[in-house]
Amino acid sequence: MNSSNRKTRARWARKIRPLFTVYLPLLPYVLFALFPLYFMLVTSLKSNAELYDVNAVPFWISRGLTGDHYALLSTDTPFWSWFANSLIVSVASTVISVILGVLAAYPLARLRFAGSASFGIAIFVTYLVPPSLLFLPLTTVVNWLGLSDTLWALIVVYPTFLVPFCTWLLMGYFRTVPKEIEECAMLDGCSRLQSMLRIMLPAAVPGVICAALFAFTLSWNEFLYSLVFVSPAELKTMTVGVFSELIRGDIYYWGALMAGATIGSLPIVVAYVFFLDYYVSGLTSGAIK
Amino acid sequence: MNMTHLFATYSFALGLQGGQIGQGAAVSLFLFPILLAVVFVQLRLVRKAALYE
Repeated sequence: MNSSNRKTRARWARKIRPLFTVYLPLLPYVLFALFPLYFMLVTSLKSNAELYDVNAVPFWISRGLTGDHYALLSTDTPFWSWFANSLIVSVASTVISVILGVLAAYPLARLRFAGSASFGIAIFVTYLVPPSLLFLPLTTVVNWLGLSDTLWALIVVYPTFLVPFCTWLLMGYFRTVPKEIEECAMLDGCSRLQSMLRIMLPAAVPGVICAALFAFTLSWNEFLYSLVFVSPAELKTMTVGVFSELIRGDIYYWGALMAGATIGSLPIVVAYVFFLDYYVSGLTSGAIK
Repeated sequence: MNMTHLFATYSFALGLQGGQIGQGAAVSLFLFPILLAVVFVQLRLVRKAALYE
């Protein structure tokens, strides 16, 4: 009786312990990270009367939910075309950059040719040059290409920071895949290209997904280039559209701004939730055990 | 007046909204030497990390 009692207590302690050592210490960070999202959601669902009442508590809704701000987005602004623009631009530039990134990262990680190290460093350096330094020269380039005020301008420009990023990330990942499996494939008669496409890529799927996910997030959040290169209201991406059409003069449409931000953050959430399992499971299952 | 500008916002205001692309470019290029120092340090760190691989 006594020993079983001790056993249940030990089991209970094992269950309760992570609560104090893991979850409680994590709680403040989680709250800190989630608070802006919560505030965004609450503000977007609040009626204007409560929103602009100085005496109302800003952290929750006490006078009823309203969908007015979302309705205003749909009726007064071309919000859904901004959404579509963001989606088109992000998906297109992500696909382009991941393909180019894979093609660039493979030789840099695997082949030894004259200047391979300096190519890697050059790519790293281009990644470190910020958009705020590049947007003025790029304006000239975009005008010269005749692409200004089209979505193509963004699809062409975003890879300038996405390709170095993807290349750098994939280079690191490709290096962790053992050389031996590729050597095996080549002994069996694979060419370099086949070995890259059939051996390296399947082994590096988590890395590729990770690169695509980050690239998508980066281009979805992009603000400066989108602000500079596209000015017609219906061609704007979401980040710029919400900012420029919902702040009129010194009037801030806070509810609608927050509603736009809430809808804007959904695709990222969906993308992460959808790919997270894939990503984590891929990470843990190595090619050679 | 323009006290709270960052380099990026100031060069945007000068170069694109003000139409003086040269001045805007000059402002944004002012970042370059600072950046160079940062890149130098980072490259050294990256190389050091690569040695241990």
